[in-house]
Amino acid sequence: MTALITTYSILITILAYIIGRKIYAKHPSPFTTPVFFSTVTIILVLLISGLDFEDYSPGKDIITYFLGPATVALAVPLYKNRKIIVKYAMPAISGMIFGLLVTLILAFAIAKAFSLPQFIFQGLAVKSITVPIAVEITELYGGNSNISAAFVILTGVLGTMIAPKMMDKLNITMPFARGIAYGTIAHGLGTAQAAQESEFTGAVAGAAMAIAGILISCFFPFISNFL
Amino acid sequence: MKKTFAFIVQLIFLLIICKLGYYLANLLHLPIPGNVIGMILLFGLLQTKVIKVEWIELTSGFLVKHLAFFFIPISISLMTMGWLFIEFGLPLALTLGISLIFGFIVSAWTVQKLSHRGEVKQHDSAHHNI
Repeated sequence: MTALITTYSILITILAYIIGRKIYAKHPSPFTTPVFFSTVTIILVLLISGLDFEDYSPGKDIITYFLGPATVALAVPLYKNRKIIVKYAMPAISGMIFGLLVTLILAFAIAKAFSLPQFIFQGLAVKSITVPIAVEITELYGGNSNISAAFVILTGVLGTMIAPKMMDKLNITMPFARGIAYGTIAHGLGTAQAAQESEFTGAVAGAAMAIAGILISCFFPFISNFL
Repeated sequence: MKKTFAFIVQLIFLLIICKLGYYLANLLHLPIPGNVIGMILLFGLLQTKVIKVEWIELTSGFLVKHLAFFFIPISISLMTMGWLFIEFGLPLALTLGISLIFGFIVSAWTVQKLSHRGEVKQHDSAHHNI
């Protein structure tokens, strides 16, 4: 029975993704981005089938297992575009540091204004970096890693929903600049969105995601002093 | 058939690099996750020409193209977080949304402005050289 549910989970995930991609290609909108569309569809299908997240978990683990090699594979576009990345290293690093500072300071300030509880702040500190790093950092400092993962995912999903059109409107057309922002602010989900724009944008985003993760890991003790 | 075989061999290779990344991260107590170390390792192997891009292009191209797919199951975990949104829904949405929007704008805008300035400068110096 478990094997059957696991197969079912994986199949509906693949199917939702394929349909999501098709719909997004035809009608690009924030609500048809493949991850958002698939997430909503799969949750609904699970609920209709009378399954909960625990039933879905084994299937989830199998798919997420390949997130490892998929991240490693980002080295290929990174390698192919290494010259341009080195050439624009200074603008890239500046964009990443300013972007991270602005997003963190604003998040803390707004959360403080709403007097949100303390456990939320640790999640906010890691919201822009990729799930495996975010979870490890919060656990290292005794925070709630489920909350961190939720904020990371929400940031990523919101980023892929809002950012493409917003950057178009603001005339941010340079693929290199878009890639850095996607990877820095919206980590792996942003990188996936960037890869959909072009292989080059995806490569830049992948590099930015890795560097943002390293930056936050190094500065987290410093950031947590302010919490 | 040949292509399927090549795909699987390349996938196994990427998995080994990834495992090696996790092993190293663990061994050296690095604050960076193993898959990122794996990415750096593979980049190093390509850069030093130990392996050729063509050897892994098929599988890595496929995985990068469909990177979003691998995040879907993690987002499904949001279905267990209902209580958090019931309790703090609106303030949380505003906190995450506003900080995200300005983070994006500042990051992308900084890169675009600084790179363009760099281009102009290079252009100018080229001009002066003439």
